[in-house]
Amino acid sequence: MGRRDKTGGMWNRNRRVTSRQLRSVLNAVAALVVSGALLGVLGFGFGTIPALGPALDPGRGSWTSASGGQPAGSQTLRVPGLTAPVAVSFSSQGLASIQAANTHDVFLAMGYAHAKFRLSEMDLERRLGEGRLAQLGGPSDLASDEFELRLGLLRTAQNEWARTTGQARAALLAYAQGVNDDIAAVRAAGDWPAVFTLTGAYPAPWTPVDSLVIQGVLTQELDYTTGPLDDALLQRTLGAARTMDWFPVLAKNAQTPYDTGPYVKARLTPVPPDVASSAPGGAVTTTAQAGATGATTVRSDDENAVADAAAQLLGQLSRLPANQIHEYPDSNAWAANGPAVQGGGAVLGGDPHLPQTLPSVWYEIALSAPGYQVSGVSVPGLPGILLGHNANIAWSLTDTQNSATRYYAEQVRGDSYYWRGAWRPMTVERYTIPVRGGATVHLTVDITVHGPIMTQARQRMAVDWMGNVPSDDLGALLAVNEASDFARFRAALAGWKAPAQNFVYADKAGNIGVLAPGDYPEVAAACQPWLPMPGTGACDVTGVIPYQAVPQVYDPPSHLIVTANQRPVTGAYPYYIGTSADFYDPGYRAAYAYKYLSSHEPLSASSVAALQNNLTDSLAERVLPSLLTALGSASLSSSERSVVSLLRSWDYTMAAGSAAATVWWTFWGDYLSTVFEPWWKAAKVPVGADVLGLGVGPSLVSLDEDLEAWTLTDPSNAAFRGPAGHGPGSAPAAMVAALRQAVTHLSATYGGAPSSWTWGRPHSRSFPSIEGAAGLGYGPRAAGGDPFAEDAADGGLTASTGPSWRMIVTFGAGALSAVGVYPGGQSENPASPWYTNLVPLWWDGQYLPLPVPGASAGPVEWRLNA
Amino acid sequence: MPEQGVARAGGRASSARARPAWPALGWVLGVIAVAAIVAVTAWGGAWFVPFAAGVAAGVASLRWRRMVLLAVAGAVAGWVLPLWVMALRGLPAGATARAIAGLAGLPPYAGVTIVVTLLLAALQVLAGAWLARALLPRPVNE
Repeated sequence: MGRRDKTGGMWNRNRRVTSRQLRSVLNAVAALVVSGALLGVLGFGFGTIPALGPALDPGRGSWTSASGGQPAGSQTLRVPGLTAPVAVSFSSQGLASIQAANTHDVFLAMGYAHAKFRLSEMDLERRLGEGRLAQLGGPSDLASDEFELRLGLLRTAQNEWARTTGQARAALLAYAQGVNDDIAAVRAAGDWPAVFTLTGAYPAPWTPVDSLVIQGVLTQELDYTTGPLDDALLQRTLGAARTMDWFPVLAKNAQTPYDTGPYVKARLTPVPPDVASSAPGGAVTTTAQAGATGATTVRSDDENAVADAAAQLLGQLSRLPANQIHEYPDSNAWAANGPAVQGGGAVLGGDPHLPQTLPSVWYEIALSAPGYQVSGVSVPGLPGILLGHNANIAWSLTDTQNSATRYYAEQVRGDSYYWRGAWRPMTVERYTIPVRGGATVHLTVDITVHGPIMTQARQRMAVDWMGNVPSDDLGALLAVNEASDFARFRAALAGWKAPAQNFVYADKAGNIGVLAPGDYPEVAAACQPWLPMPGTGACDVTGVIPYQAVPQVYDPPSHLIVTANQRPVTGAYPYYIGTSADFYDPGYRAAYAYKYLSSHEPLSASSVAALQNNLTDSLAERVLPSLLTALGSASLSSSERSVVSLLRSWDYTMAAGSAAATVWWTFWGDYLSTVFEPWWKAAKVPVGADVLGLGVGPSLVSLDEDLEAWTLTDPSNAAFRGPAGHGPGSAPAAMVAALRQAVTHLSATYGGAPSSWTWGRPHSRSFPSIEGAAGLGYGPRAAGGDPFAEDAADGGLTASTGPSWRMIVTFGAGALSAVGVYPGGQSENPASPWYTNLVPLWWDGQYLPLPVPGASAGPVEWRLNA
Repeated sequence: MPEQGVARAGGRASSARARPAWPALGWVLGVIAVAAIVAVTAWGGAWFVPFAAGVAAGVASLRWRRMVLLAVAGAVAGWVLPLWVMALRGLPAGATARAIAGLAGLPPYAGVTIVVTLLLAALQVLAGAWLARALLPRPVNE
């Protein structure tokens, strides 16, 4: 026993020792693993988790971005590359003014100032255009990168830079130097904007190509459209006849074009067939290649295959961040002169409606150098003033809304495509896309003479987009900045290609005008540019509308010019510029503005401001009398009678406190649904493929126009009978049914008396941060407006598109007065007092004087020395 | 001093009693020293110094058990210090914290970033101390 005890005791003791050693080993292994994992994650990040160690280091990490949140103070700064000292001054609101000895220094200082206040915005925008967002944001941004690299903003910018000469080249180089001076200063100080330290992706040196990419991004947001893709799906489901009837080239309702003719039918300006191909060097080989072998050939006139490709491309586009392509047409610009203006002279008002973000797309600044004195808003990333004035002229822009995106169904065999009777090799571009927290993605882009292939479905679809035409738009803009009269203004814009814009003009001599420069692509008459076209060569772009024939007006007898994205010309215009669906505004804002301005003559800055902030829904003004007439003979419940009473006393303003506004907007949506939804359901229209372009609702403007026209002039149109003949049968019956539906819906949603259903309950405005970061935006805040009001609110019930800048310039009695405001602030740093300080002014309809070129903007002075 | 409490070898209670006691002033000075080192190195970008402090504390804790606590307090104070100086200089530390939280995809409150930042310092110390204690041979009486 004793022996056994001794042996057992030793065994037990050994077992305890082994067990303890095992625990120690396990403990050591666990400590090593945990410590290694912790240090690894903190030091290098994991997946999309940033390297938190350096990012949150309180001495060097993102905390140092606080220095950019300080109120700016007067100081002397070293900015290499300047040829002479430069003075930069800021008003207490942050509005900037640069005074330099020459234009090189003014653009260099502008680049420096832009980077000082908007570096992360600029970097984000160039990343977007160059297909490098996923490196910052991870796999969720891959769809955007693939789309942009296929479309080719980067290739186009490189093509443009290779051709850029003269003043634009000098400006871009100086500007890039200024941006890089700031990047170098920030790198030396270590006080990067937080987004860089959080992601560890620091900005590369700025190049002129980056600026041109940003110009391309803006172009894309203004005129890359999907109209032909939507039409292909509508034709397949609704049928060609009905699609052309309900989505016609010319809208069914009354329009107010600014250029009523007579028109010039001049020969088209020829362009090479590959002008918008985006291929490197701008040329696609046209050498025929015999006997290529490979994949099955699909005829491009196979409607189903084309529609499938359209659906695939729409699917890709639906994965893009909001507003990356054109969605909402809502800009205003108008001018008046002579007897229409108080005291004579001229007045110009402009409010471009764009996605309203924090920071804004705009940076307000005055630039002064000998021979160059200009003030207005600039785009961070670009030299020059986009909208503003100099001592002699003022200008503002609205989108012309012409169709500038053509789609071609290509016949493809292996690496070749069929064009003009022969198989031709496609140009192939290869890209690698770094993805934060994921594997690098390799992308191959095939390019035909028409442009890049955007789909890999059974049917390959190429896109021919005028935004890919290499052009000297920046040179044109800089020349506009210096123009002193309409002749020079007109000459300057001859080089403007894309996006086509209505440049509204006023000058100190009291003249006004509007000119819509840009490339308007034309195809043979037998082709249907509102649909994807065959890529065989039969429907290639044959030329563009010559400059002397683009929409334009100068000193009209009415003394008024209004542009609000409406079709700028009448049906007599001898060129094709797009359909009602692709993509003109229904014209309510334009019609109301003409009416308002002509009824408020003589005009002043305050009457123009009142119009810019006006909330009248002109469609309601047109349709409501018919609705009330229809309701007059209907049997109504008590709540419906209350609603009718609200509508009878309504002044058509979409004010936040108006209950009638809520009823109207809900009714209009229900009226559209009552009439069109049965047709959509019967035809199985694939609404999910493109909700904005295919779904029944107010954003499908052709349907607004149709229904308005039928209600007013064709109340028994066959559309009211429905696909099976069981519909309401007439406009009055459909309106009564829609109003009942609206009242039922609103009662269920809000309860109480109809007078409590104020528009501010369902409707708000929101200015999200460009990074999409929660808490860094503004709103949502209850607000008035709708897409048809001058003070437009678009993008849904929580609107995020609207007046991104409001400006009024008056030339009267030899004096110039210019005021403006945008919803945001000059700094992108959320901790800065200049982040949202302009929002309250904008919200209340107030304006600030624009900084005066050559004068100090205010109390903060920077002296920049080389 | 080291001889105190060694009369009964073995047993955790007696070994604890064997540790030398630090005067309160010693603890305060220790925290200040660690905080100073961590703060200065944070300004230099050495975000991992709290981990190193944790390793040192882990080694020392074999002799002075509360050393880990001291290191945690020192590291947290060392990372608070630059933020405090930032606020003293008039920089918008709170608004910056809120912005960082928003950009990082966290709830956009200043407190979130501050807590996460200080938690990183504390976690590093604890991980370092754990590693040191796990790898080093323990005294026989432990």
